[in-house]
Amino acid sequence: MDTRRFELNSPKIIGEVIDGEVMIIDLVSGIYYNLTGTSAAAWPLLVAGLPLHAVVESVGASCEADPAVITADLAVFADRLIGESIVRELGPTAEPAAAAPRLPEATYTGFGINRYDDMRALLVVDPVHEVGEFGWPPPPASATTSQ
Amino acid sequence: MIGDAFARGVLRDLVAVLERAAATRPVQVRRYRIAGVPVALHIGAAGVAQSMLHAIEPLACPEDTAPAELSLFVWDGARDGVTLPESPVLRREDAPEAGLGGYSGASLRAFYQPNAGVLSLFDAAARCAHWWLRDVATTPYYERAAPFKHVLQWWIAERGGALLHSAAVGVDGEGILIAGPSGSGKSSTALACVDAGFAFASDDYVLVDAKHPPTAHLAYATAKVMRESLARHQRHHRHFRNLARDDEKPMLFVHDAAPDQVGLSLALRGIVLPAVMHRATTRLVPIRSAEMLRALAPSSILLFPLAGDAAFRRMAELCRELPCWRAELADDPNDVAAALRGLLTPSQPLTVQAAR
Repeated sequence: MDTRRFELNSPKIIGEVIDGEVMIIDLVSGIYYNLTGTSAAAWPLLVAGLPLHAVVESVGASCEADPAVITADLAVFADRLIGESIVRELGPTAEPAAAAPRLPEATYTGFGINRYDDMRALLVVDPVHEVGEFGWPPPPASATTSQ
Repeated sequence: MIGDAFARGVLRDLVAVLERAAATRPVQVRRYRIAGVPVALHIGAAGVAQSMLHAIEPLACPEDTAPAELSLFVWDGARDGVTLPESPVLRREDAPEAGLGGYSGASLRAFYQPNAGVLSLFDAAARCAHWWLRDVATTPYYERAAPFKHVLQWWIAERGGALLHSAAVGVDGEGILIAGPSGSGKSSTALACVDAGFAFASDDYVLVDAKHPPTAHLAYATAKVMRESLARHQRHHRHFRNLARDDEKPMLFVHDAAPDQVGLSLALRGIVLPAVMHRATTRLVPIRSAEMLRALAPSSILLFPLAGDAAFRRMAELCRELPCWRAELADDPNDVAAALRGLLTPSQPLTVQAAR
């Protein structure tokens, strides 16, 4: 049973849930992310500090997916969030685990994260905005999705 | 890495230096209403006022006697004899971690642009700010286009609003935001609307207050365009500045070119994300609020990273509260303006497709 718990790595990271998606911005690196589907649904539970096994329980109750698959996918997702410094791990808690919140029924989509670094130049240049005829140099748009 | 306490101490000392300078040097006080709020600018040298503040001239309110809710001191270091102390805090050289890129404490905020020679300081509790320029004569043109924008974004965020990287135009006091990164067509769309008789509230930075429904307020009456699009704006040619400078964007001040079309405040009715599509007619496609936030927030937030969480929340609120559209642009600016006018006067038929 994975008992790891997490919180948002604020103030470096800010996040907003909107329209069933999550948008996350790293104010230090300029990288931003968005989550959709199951990862967006699970996000509020993750950053509220629920242990991963409770998140698995909530996600499992909301969709038809093998709990073992959810467990494995969520562990990879949590490692990715740690690796990107989006969340930080909390210490163990002595408090009894709260009941896993119910999530709306949905199709299981796995735990993808979209990562964008096309705005990083805004943070690393001076002048802050205008650095060329076309505004800041637009680096090639890069967006990667990993499942 | 500079420690927070050390940076705070240096900045507090710096504020004290600037306050002493303000008490001992002649300053002129100019009154403005920014987002409808009384603001006093204390200007240390006449040259600064003339050359740096033209973008906010439509906000001037010289007869205003209401107590100022923000006192902003504008310094020309070279002429006012106010230099910054030598300190590792102010020795940032391109890399934020090498010194002070920005500082955000409980009340004090600071942002330093060493290459431009610009320091912005804001003390929320004291309702006081400083905008220090190393030398007005060498300050980059983009600071003239949008003076003290970091101070403005801290100040409006304190009031529950946000400074957005967005254009805003309107008709009869109602307006729309035009979002998107530089080069996406914001300025051209905004000027197309000005040519069609719209009020102009921004082509790049706009203040949005905390009200529901929200109101956009002019921050700067500046419009900047890409050099290759100048031909589309021949009507205003004599008002464009920087035409002889290949390294600067042509810009004009809308109150010079179309003084009756400066829109100080616009009740917002929607947000548009332009897409240059070279269509025969402009098509407006409803999009989800999440898609609009992805277009609006990263550049707005990362241009002003110290505004952080509060500004991000306000942007998300705007995207939830207002209808969002992608405008697939025609080449004809009159057609673009007509399509956007249709959003503000819905009795006219719209060319709209359902969101995919």
